[in-house]
Amino acid sequence: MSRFSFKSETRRGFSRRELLRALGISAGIAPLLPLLNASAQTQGGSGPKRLLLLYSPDGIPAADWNDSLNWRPSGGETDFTFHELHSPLEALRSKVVVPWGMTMTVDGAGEAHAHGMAGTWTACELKGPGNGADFDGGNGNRTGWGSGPSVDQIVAQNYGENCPYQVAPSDPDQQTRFRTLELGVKSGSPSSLNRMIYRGEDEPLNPEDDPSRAFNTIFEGVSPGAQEPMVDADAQRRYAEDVALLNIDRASLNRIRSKVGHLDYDKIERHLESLLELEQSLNVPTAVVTESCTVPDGAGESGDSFPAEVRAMMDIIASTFACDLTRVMSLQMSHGFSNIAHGDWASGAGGTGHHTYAHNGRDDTVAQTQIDKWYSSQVAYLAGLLDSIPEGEGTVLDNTLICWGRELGNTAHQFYDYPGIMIGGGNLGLATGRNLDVSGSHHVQWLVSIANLMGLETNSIGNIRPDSGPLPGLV
Amino acid sequence: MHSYTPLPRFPFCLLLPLVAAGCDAQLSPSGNEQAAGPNEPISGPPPAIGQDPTDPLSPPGGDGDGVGISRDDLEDACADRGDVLEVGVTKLRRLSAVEFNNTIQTLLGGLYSDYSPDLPDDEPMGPFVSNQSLPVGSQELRQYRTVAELVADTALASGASFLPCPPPAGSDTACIEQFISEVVPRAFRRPLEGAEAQALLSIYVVGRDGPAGAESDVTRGLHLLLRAIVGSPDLLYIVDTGASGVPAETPESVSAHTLASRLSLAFWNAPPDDELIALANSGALLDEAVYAAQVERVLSDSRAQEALAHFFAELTGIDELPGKEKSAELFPEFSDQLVQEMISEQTEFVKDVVFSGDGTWATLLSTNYDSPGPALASLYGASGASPVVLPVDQRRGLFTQAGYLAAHNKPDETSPVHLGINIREAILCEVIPPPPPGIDTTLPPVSGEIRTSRDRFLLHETGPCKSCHELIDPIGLAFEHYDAIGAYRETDNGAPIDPTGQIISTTGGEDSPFFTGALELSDQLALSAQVRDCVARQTLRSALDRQESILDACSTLELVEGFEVSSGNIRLLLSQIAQTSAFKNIVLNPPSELQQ
Repeated sequence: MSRFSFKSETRRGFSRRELLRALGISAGIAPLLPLLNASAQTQGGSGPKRLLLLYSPDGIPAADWNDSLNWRPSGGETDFTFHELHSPLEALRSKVVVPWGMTMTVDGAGEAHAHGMAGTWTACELKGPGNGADFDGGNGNRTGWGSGPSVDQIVAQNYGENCPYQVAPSDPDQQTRFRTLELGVKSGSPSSLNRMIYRGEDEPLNPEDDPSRAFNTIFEGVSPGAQEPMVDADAQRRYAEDVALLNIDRASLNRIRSKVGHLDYDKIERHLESLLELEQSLNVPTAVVTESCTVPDGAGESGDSFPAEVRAMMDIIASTFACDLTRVMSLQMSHGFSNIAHGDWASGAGGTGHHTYAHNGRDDTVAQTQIDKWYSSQVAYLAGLLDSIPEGEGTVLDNTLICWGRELGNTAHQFYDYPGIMIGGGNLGLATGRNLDVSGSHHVQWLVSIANLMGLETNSIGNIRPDSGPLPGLV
Repeated sequence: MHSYTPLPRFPFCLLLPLVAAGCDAQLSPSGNEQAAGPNEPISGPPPAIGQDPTDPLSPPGGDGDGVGISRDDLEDACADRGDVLEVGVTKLRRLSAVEFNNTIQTLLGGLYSDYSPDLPDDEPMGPFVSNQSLPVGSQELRQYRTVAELVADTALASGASFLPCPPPAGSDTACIEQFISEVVPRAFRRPLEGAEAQALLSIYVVGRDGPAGAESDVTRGLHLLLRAIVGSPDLLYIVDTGASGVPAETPESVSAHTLASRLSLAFWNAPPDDELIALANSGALLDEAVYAAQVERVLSDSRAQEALAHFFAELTGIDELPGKEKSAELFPEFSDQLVQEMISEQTEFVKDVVFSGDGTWATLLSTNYDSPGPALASLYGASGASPVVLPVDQRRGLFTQAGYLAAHNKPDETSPVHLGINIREAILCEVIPPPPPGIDTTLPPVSGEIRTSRDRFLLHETGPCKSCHELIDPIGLAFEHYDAIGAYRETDNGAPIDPTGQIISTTGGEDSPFFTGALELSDQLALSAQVRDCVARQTLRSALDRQESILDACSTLELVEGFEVSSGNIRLLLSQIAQTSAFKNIVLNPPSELQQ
């Protein structure tokens, strides 16, 4: 499969056709959509509110059961120094919040990696096997799926003046092409250990793991740099074809519904909803969105290594936000029990798999620290990219809340001292640039705060510790 | 350096309650409150089947299923059920990747293509896959549509050779209509209904003509038609139906087309061929003699051999070998070529034994494959002659093949725990719970007196680790004469290896006699009734693409007993599966008390 690399510093207009050629994809496969509208979606002139959840695997390095690294920043609330494993964030320090002392709000079936994954963004229990779901939740433990929606999906399903979206999900006139986008890098097959984003009970969302496919899906028809809307006859023909397919599929599903048991009606309904979402996305005008909308440069060599794909996905995320194609995204890097060996790209990380380091009988906190530091450098790259794109009076990062979480507190499978980091979101009311002691808090409060910052008035997320209220001191 | 600190002791490491259960509620003795729900798995400690003096696991007699119904009562209940049909609930599922690939080949001919990189990942069901839990969300819909487009591009890149007639010119649609009526039913696994053919023809016309004023384009019409067929929910979803044609509340026999589809999907991972379709169309497939002959035909086809090899790859976990990394420093010989030869060894061995040899489980565990590839033969230190003779004191059957060992061992060292758990789960049908929370699972390093894996595992013999690891470790440590990629070794870190152990019973029976090493362990697994019980169940699960439920208890019993009677003949097991009530019947809307 053809791959691509990006030149993120190059902010020039790039023809969609050139891009497709560079990707080795014929225009017949992905023709242009009509370019109908050149207006940007903005709120109060500053830009839309956005949420981005980031995940990296495993917890803070621990040498032993009660011997986790003290990863908290040193110094005062506003004058602090990052721990080594977060040091790549230094350049963005004024836009980072490090709340420390939270305990994760996770529970349920499976071992710690599994219910940690299911609870990281939901604060909901991981269920035991049932409802057709029955798989390995770590070390042979059987599990089903999680039992409630993740905070990003809650945010995206809501709408209102202070929310990312001002129209309901069912509204035929959506503001962005995608209500949410879930991306991943080597996120693994669908099982409780490998999924963290949930649309609802028993409904994890599979992330898109393929950068080429993500690129094609997201940027199809987006032609930044073009000065005037234009209508492409071929695209109109393509649109009519797509709609014809949607309709024949709807007829099929309605016939199938009459043949299956009522236990399967939900599946049919969800499939029909997906068709509707696809139709909505076909109808969203895509155009020259803002002057900061740049589509990644498709010329370049390939690479399907872990760091190459992480970088590719991050470039896609930056452009997706800059072009306002969605306002709620997540990026899952690897998965629970990740055993990627990072030595080839993270200096000092050695050749052993990430998870094995935690259990191979040696004190490998040094190598693990280098792995975490590498993930920090990736997060810093993405945040820096968003911060380099002007928007309103500030940057895209100022309108985007990045939350970086993991499925464990530390590698000894414990949930205390959860390292949840926030970056950006300065225009959303978050008081940034802080080293924040929130000892005694639960990570569900962090999730409630995320929802609050995204315009939702709620005190409660999930079913493990309802009505927790928000984290103190964030705003 | 750290030290291991024993933690508060956990009272027991209970095996998870995969209870065996009786037949359905009406057949169970009254007061059996422990009966599992209809969709709960009923694997696990098997009922005792005839006291086999050679059985190393010596299961207890009498109350063999652990829930209060005796094996005898279950047999009586199943024998007395008369015309009452029993079958677990069928849920809608999507084609697996391999089924999808085979469907496309059936539809369009040509070379086999693997679309799995672009399809949504299959959902795991134990060691197998079954896409019956997750719905098609936006992401999956996009992927299916992308794949449909890819298939259409590929098919049209070489002209329209998939058409059964010369491609149409101009506005003539006769060939398109023929394609729709003759070929599409193969992909949908049933005849077209009502206005379906007309709707597909309309799609073709939309694609061909485009909007008003556009240029007519036959190829574009075909492209859109293929997108519609390949992306159709009718191709994607396996919609099993009963003879009555309406979603049944009580079990009934399946329709002829569903029977054909179940047969080919279970034993070929592919849609029915023309012969099965014709017999389904005429209804003749519902005749017992015709059906039995078709079962034999299906199982005699080479596609059945491929499908069974696929089953064993999933069961043993060797299907995950291609993604496994091994230390390049320690194992420079671990090449892609070697991995291919390892997988090929298992595939060809299984096909040989089951379809050309005596077909028994015991033979799979007691003989060696005689044509490994050159890299693998070298790893085995085998003679260069043909047939290749493996060192008989080092290798014996499926679980001593290097690919199996490499698939479960770590990148740089062996993993007795993973091997032990795999044997317990895959062929003893037990579930080992994870370490209790709060356990440091770190092993002590190799240092001083601690040299071998067994030395490092000593701490498992005490405290909270013991109750599980006494089940896992003795089995896993039996494989210590093989290194991380499955090569034979005499020593571990320079120290002698002690591969003795025994299989601790979890059923209340006696523990097995002691074995020395993987060869003697394999002998015990070859003779164990619990293993045969489990293999029969695993094969049924894979064929049904679901976990068996309490409503399948009589089918399961029949199968397990049949597997005993045939001395573990796998080829016969497959044809017996095709004759079970669970396979031939269907219920879609059972009464609510029988739903989960």
